[in-house]
Amino acid sequence: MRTAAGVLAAVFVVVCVAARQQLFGLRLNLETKPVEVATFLVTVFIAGFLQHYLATQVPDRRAEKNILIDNCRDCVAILKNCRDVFWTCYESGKMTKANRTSILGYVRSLANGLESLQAAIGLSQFASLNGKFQAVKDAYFNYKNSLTGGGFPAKPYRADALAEHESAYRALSNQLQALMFQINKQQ
Amino acid sequence: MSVAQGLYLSVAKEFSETPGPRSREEGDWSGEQFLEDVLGPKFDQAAREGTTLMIDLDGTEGYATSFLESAFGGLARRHSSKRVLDVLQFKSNDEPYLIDEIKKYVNDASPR
Repeated sequence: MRTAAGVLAAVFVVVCVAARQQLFGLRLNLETKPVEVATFLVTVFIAGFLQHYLATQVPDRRAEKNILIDNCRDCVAILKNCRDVFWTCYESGKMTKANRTSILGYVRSLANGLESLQAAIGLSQFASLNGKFQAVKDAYFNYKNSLTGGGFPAKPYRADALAEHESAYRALSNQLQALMFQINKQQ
Repeated sequence: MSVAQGLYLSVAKEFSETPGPRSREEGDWSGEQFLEDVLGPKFDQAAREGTTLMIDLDGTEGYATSFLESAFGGLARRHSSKRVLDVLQFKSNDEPYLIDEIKKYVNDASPR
């Protein structure tokens, strides 16, 4: 960047000297034209303003996107924990008190993670994305139903619970991934 | 000027800290038991007195979908979704999403 500015300055000085010496058919016109001066000043102001705006706004938006994407990642991590504990229960064919506590605990963590994410989106510069959060919420309710609906916690998971769980898991996971991409795409 | 105080029901204190399954036959502290023994009578009292009933959901281990649907969906099937939502209010600091979840079950429940 500095090299380019140095080269431009050197070219400018060489052209000025050449014009003063009237080399290569160049001439210096020292007449002052107010309109051209005003145009020049406006151009300089716009360039400076744009540089200042981009220098302050772009990093702020990137930082906010990173925070929101981190929140999304946390939710995905909790969702994976939910799936792991489901698999443990499903494979053991039992629903112990510890299993019940574990599942309810992870479901609560997931709900609160999503609630925090929704609140953070509302506080950020991308609050318009909150309109798309209802789909995530619906997918969460559906997923919770696959984990704690039916005979939970009185009976172990039935054979058909596996397909229902995996379908609901994929739906919620996809919603969270889509939300991450939408956050990242925000201008 | 006096302000009418609504009724208050804490699930953890007046029912159980470990709400259980959907129906009585499946186990203790079921949604059916909660509806018949605690929520239903309190709701009727609030409706008679023309006041609201604040349900405090905090302080429990957590709520299964089956419990919530059985209790609150069951109440909406006895009365109507609108009447239930007019009378009930909710407090859930532990898990704020529970409120929307319960309202969903109430709205989805149709009277039998």
